[in-house]
Parts: sequence; C-alpha cells; structure tokens
Amino acid sequence: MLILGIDTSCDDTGAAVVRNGDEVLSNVIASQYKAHDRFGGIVPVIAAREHTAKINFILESALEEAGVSFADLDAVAVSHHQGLLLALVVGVSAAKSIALACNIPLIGIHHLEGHIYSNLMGRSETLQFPFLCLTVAGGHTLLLKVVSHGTYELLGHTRDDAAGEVFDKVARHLGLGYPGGAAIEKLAENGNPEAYDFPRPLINRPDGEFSFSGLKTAVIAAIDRDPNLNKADLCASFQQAVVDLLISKTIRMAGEHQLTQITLAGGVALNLPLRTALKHAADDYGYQIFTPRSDLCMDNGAMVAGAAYFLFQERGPDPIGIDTRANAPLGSMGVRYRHDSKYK
Amino acid sequence: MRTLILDTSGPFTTVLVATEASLSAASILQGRPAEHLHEQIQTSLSCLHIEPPDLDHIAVVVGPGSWTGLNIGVTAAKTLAQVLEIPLSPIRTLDALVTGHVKPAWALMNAGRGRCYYVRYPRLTHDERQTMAVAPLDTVSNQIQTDSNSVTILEYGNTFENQLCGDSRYQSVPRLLPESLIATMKKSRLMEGDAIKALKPAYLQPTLAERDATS
Ligand SMILES: Nc1ncnc2c1ncn2[C@@H]1O[C@H](COP(=O)(O)OP(=O)(O)OP(=O)(O)O)[C@@H](O)[C@H]1O
Ligand SMILES: [Mg+2]
Repeated sequence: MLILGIDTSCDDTGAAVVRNGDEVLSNVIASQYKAHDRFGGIVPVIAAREHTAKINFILESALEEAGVSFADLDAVAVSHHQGLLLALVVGVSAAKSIALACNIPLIGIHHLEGHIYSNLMGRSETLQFPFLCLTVAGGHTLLLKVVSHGTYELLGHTRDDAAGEVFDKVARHLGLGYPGGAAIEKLAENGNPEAYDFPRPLINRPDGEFSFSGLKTAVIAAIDRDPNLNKADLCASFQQAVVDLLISKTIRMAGEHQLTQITLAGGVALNLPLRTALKHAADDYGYQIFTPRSDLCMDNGAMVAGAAYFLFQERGPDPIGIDTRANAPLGSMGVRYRHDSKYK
Repeated sequence: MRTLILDTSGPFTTVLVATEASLSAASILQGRPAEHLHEQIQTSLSCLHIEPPDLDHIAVVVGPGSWTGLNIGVTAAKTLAQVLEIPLSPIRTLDALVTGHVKPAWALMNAGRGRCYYVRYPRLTHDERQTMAVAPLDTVSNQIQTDSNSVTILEYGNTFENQLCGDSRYQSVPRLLPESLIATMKKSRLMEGDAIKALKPAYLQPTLAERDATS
C-alpha cells in the first residue's frame, strides 16, 4: 500500500511517500526557519503563507524522489490534529484535493500519532504492544502507554514548557541557531556536565509529571549573570539536567506500569546523550529501547504516512469533511495532555 | 469545457461548475471553508454526474480577502490542477466585483485598521492590468471625491457605510456573484505547470509581525 503523507502542522512543509508503513521512498521537508528567525519565534500567519507557497513543489518532489505519480497512490494521509491551526489547514486542503482528484481514501492523523508511530516503522515485528513512549518535541513532553493501535494511556506530561521548547529558548538566549537542541548538543560535546548545578524540578516526585520552566529560568539567569561564561560547560550541564529529568521519569513509569519496551519520539529524540543515557539506564533494568530513524524524528510527512498505514487498517478512511484542530484529544481513549480549556 | 470555480475569499464559500462558460451548479455556504470546501466540491460535481477527472479547467479567487480562506482555497485549487494536470486561472476579488459594471469605476474592499484595498478601473483597459493597492480609506475617499469622471464605486462587504454612503455613485455588494465570477474567469489568463505551483494568494499587506518589525 502506497501512502502519501503530508505534515504542515508547524513551520516545516513535509511530504513523503511510504510503502506498507515502513519503506520510506521519499521524505521531503522544507524548513521555514529563515522566514521566522527575525521574529524570535514562529509566526502562525507567516507559516501558513509559506506552506501555501511551497506545498505543491514539495508534493512534486516527494513523488519524483519516490519515482511514483499521483495515480500510483493508494491513500493520502495528513496531520489534521495538533499544531498551528492556520498552518494545518493548508496541508489538509492539499490532502483533500488529492483524495478527491485521485479518488483514494483520505486518512487524518493526529500529529503526535505520527511521532509515536515513527517507532513502529520497520519495527512492527519486534516492537510489541503495550509499550512505553516518551514523546519529546518542540511543543510536547509526555509519557504514554501505547496499548494497541490508536489507543494510548497518559502516564505523565509537562506542566509547563516542553523539553524541546526549553532547548530552543536557551539556544536563542545564547545566540545559537535552530534547531536549538542540536546546537546545544554540539556545544555540550566539549563541556563539563557537572560545571553547573541546575535544578531538576519534580525529579523526586513518584509520578510521570514533568516541569521544565524552573530549569529554563535558572539557565537563562546563569547566562545573564556571567558575560564570560563557558558556553560549553553551561550547555553540557543544562543538557544533563534535561536528560536526567526525562530518564528518571521514564524509567520510573516503565517500572510502575510493567512496560519492558521503551520508545522515544519527537525532535529531542535526536539527542545522542539522551539516547545513550536511556540505553544505559534501560540495560540496568533489562528494558529494551527503540529509537526512530533519525530522519523520522523531527516533523515530517513519512511518519504521518507510516501511522496512516497502521491506523487505516483499524479505523478505515476518513470523510472528505474531516476537521482541523489545533488541540485535539489523542487516540480512541481521547487522551488529554493539555489543560482542559485547550480542547474547547 | 468544464470549469470548477472556487471563492473562499469572503464570508461565503462559493463553489461553481460552469459548462461552456455558463453556470451549471452552484453551492454557496456561509462560514469558513476549512471543513466544508471539499464536500461542497464533491456535491457540486456529483449532482452533475461529473467526476473530478472530467474537469478541464479550474479558477480560483486569489484575493485580497480572508488570509486563511485564501490559503485554503488557493491550495485546494492548485493541488486539484496539479493532480488533474489541467490549467488554472486566478481571479482577483476586485476584478470580479467590477465585472459587468459601467466604467470608469472604483472597487474597494475593507483591509482592516481603517485601510482599504482599491483599484480604479479606467474605461478601456484590461481589468487584470490595473494594480491593486492598499491605503487609508480617508485617502482613497478623498481621491474618489475629486474623480468626477468615475461613474461607479463598488464596495465589497458593506463595511464603509458611514464613510461613503453620502455618495450616490456608491454601491455595496455583499459577495461575489456567480455570474461575475464566471465572466471574470473567462477573461483571466490560463496558468500551467510550475506557474500553478508557484501561485500565491494576493495578500497585498505584510503580516502584523512584519509591520512591527520594520517600524
Ligand atoms: N539533537 C537534538 N537535541 C535536542 N533537541 C533537539 C535536537 N534536534 C532537534 N531538537 C529539538 O526538537 C524540536 C523539534 O522537534 P519537532 O519538529 O518534533 O517538534 P514540533 O513539531 O515543533 O513540536 P510538536 O511535535 O511537539 O508539536 C526542537 O525543539 C529542537 O530543539
Ligand atoms: Mg512535531
């Protein structure tokens, strides 16, 4: 089954062609970083304008790289839930046009399901339900029990900032480029992770809750305090604090819920120290770790096509009138990982 | 020749199917196009027993108008044209407004914050050649006062009532009419290939963020 996956949930225009949920034939991503950089953050109306300008070229490249044409597609999948509303509607509009013109099924995917399923792509034999998924991206940090296809239980989430967001804010404060996490990881390579004793909020609480804003404030204060600071040491210490927080909660929840397979998802999953530390911690307990292919971690169309392959078999096609929502409960159990007021 | 025409620029979402340039199906819904545009297209085609591949041509209103509406409509139209490999015609909101009216004429549209999009159409040129611009409504209405040659002033959406209603040449139009859209479509250019993919809505104004950054 050949699926075209589209993601315009934030500031990347992504389109990809994936066969049977695991063979990525193409995965084209156009970053808008330059369009937003001078505003100090992503501007939703500009994101929407950029997606509109680029989407049809990205679709063409995705098909060309895969060596297929629109007529070869069996379905089209798109992120329609979770992200910037103004940006999501562009990808959804394109996907609906393709479904209509090609007379193929339309499959709406929750953007976070895309991140989660990036783990199952090419692994559906070895990775068994139920498993634990730590989703760490620019807008989310949550621990989920993935019960079965499309069914999730929330084990914990961040009360304030997401881990990726904190990486980005600290990086911006240090005048580093985007993605902030990658820039910090690089600088941290030559730094001492024990140079600064940054706080690790909630680390001793016996639950899966995260909080990063206290850490962010402390790191930014340390930057402001010392104009001659050793950036490498600061980055290494900050990164270590994030890694410690993520790992302690993940291992704790795996134990509490007796989940022996642990997966990582989202852009922060690219972080090598995080991957390594998680592997070490898991080895101690006999847990198995799965991390997505690196090209499937940040926002992309392939993870959407991958999720669609599995979820289509469970849920079938969606109507052409599917909605678009900035915040939407996740999966068949309607997991709410944000404040209730967000889901109105 | 079967043409699908989309207008998502304003408070109504219009989907028309024109066969040999006359109207054969119309679906006009009040409200945002995000969820219903493609259902409207599907219904309009199926009531004529037309499949999408039977279309020969697409036309879309490119603005100015609702930022999100235009992104949705233009993306929908570009993608249909791309997949079906058929030509696409852009329709400018103000051209459609003035089509069929006596000229010289002015066409105006609310641009928010006391400003308006406007075009002055002289008697004998191609509508599409006239540049659309944006300026404070006061400035534009002063120009209109001194333009005794112009016979018609059209305003889209009835938003300037208080400022302009003293002028008897002034006429308010609540939305783009099917016949104006078809007439404008007939006059507009045909785009193909990469030009279709590169088509952008006529936003005309920078975003607030861009304005703040430059001021
Ligand atoms: N090597 C790295 N180490 C740590 N963080 C990283 C690394 N590379 C990227 N990131 C972070 O990943 C994030 C982007 O990931 P992603 O594109 O999945 O997030 P998003 O789509 O913006 O947010 P969400 O999916 O939560 O809505 C950024 O915050 C970036 O700093
Ligand atoms: Mg993401």
